[in-house]
Amino acid sequence: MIRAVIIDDERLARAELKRMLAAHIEIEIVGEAANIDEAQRAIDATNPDLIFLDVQMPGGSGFDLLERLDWVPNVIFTTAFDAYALKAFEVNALDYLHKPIEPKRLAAALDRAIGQYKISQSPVLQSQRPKRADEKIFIKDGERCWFVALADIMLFESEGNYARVYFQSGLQTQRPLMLRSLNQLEERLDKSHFFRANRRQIVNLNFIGDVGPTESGGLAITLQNDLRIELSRRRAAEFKDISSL
Amino acid sequence: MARQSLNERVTNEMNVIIPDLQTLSGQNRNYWICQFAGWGSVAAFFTWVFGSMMPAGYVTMGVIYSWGAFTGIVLSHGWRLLLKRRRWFSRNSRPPWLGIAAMILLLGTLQALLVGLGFFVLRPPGMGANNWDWLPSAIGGWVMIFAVWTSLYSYTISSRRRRHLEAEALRLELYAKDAELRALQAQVNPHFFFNSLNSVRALIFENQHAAAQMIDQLAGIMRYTLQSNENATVSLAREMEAVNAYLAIEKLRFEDRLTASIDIETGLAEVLIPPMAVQTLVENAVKYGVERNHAGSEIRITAKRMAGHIEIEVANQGAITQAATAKESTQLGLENARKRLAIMTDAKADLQLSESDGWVRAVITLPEKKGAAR
Repeated sequence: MIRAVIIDDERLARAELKRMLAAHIEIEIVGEAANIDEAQRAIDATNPDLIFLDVQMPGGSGFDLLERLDWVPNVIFTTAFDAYALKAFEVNALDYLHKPIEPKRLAAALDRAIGQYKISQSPVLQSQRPKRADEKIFIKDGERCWFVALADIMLFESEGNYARVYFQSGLQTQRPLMLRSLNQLEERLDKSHFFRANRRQIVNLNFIGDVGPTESGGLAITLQNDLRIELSRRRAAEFKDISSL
Repeated sequence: MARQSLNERVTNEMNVIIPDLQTLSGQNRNYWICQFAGWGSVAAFFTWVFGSMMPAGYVTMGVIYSWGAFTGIVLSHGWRLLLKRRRWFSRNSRPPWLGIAAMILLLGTLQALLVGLGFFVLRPPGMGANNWDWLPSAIGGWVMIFAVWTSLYSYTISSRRRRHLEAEALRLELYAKDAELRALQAQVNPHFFFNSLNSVRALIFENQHAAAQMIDQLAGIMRYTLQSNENATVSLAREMEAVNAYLAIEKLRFEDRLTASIDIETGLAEVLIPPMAVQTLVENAVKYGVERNHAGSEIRITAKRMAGHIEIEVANQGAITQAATAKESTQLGLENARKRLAIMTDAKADLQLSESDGWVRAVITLPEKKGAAR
C-alpha cells in the first residue's frame, strides 16, 4: 500500500482526485490538506510515501511546503496552468499532472511512484526512516529547484544560517544554498554515511577519494571532485575509527 | 465606437495629407503652369526692358524672347527629366551640388547661345554687333535664371517629400496604436479556465444540475471574452453579466472563501467601458483577495455617479502585494486595462489601485459623458 496525502486548497479538486484515486487500490489516502500548514501537520503525522501537491495555494505555494520539510516524500504536482513555476526544475525529473487530470496520465504517474516505492522498500535499502540514504531533500535557491537524494550529496558547507549543498548533476557540480544550519543537518543525517569533518563541513563518506596526513597532525580528505577538506587531530581520530569499521 | 472606425480614421487622416493617385496628374498640370508662367514672365520682362531701350522695338524683341522662352522651357524640361532619372533631389543623401552647378552653367550657356541665335537671325537694328562681347553677360543672366529655376524645383520636391514622410509617420503611429489596442485585448485566463474545467468534472459526480449550470456560465464567459476583441466598448450591464457568471464559477471553486456584493447605481447600465475592464479587476480581486488567503475575502463591486464623472470600484479584503507581481499576468492585466481605458477616452479615464482599512480598491474613473469614446 502506498500512503498518500492530497494537498489542494479547493475542496472540489480534492474530491475529484480522491474519486479518481479510488480506482487505484494500491493507493491509500491517509490525509488531506487545504493549505501548507495543514499539509505539514498531515505529513508529520502520517509519514506518507507520496503527496499530491497543488502549486498555487493561499498562504504559501507547494514549493514553500517542500522547503519546510526535513525530507520529502515522492511528489506529484497538480496544477491548472503553471508552466512557469515548473520550469524551475531543470534537471530533476519530476511528475506533474495538469488539472483536469487525465486518468491515463494519472495511471502513468502512479506507476512511476509505485516503482520508486518498491525500490525504496527493498530489503537492502530498508532501514530506519531518518537515516535512509535514498531519502530526498528539496532545495530551492532563487529561481532554481532540486530534489536531491541524500546519497548524491557530497558535502554540506556552512554559510551562516545557510548550508551550501554540493552535488553532482550531469557533469556539473551544483552548489545551491538551503536554509538549514549545519547542526540541524547533522542531527538528522545518517552517521554511517555523513561525517562532521570540522565546524564548517559535513562530508559524505562515499565520496572520499583520497586521505593523507597534514603537517599539524590532522588529516586532509580529498573528495572525488577535488574538493579538499581538513580534519583536526581530534576529528581525524574519529574519522579513523569510523573508516576502520 | 466600433473598432473598425479606427482604421477608417487612419484612412481619412491620410487622405487629408497625401494626395492620392488622381492628383498626380494635378501635380503635372501645376508643373506646366509654372513653366509657362515662369518663362513667359522672363520673356515679357526682357522684351519690356530691351524693347524700351533699343530702337528695334517691342515686336522684334517679343519674337526673340518668345523664342528664348521656348528654348528655356525645352532646356529646363530636359533638365527636370535628368534630375528625375538621377533622383538628385528626391533621395535621402545630399544632392551632388558640384554636378548640379556644372549643369546649371551648361544650361545657361546653351540658353545664351540659342537666344543669341535669335539675335543673329533677326539682326535687330542697333544690336548688330559682330563680336562676342555680349556673351559673358548673357551667360551670367541665364545661369542666374536656371539657378533660380533649380532652387524652386528642389524646394518643391523636398517639401513634397517632407509632407509624405510626415504622413507616413502619422500612419505608422496610428497603426501602432491600433496594433497595441489589439494586443491589449483581454485573453482567456488559462489558470481560471483549467481550474474551472476541473471543478466541473468534480461537480458532475456531486451535483449534475450545478455542473450543467457551471458549463453554461463557463461558455458565457468564454464567448464574452472572445467577442470582447471585436468591440472597443461595451455597456456596463453587458460586462456585469460576464462578471456575474465569473463570480458564480469562482464561488463554486472557493465556496465559503468568496462572497460578493454588487451595487450598480440606477442609470449606469448603459455606460460604455472597454470590454473586460471590470472583469480584469474582479479577477485580480479574486486572485489576490481570495486565492492567496485561507480566510478568503468579500468582493464588493460598486458603480456610482459622482460630480462630473463615474466611478466603478472593485474592492477586496487584503493588502497590495508589491513583491513578485511584476511578472504576473494579472499585473499585466491591470496595466492593459489602464491602457485600454486611456486609448478609449483619450486619456481622460483613470484607473487607480489603493489600499485602506484592510481593503484593496481598484477604481475606474470615467468622464461623465455617456460612451466617453471619441
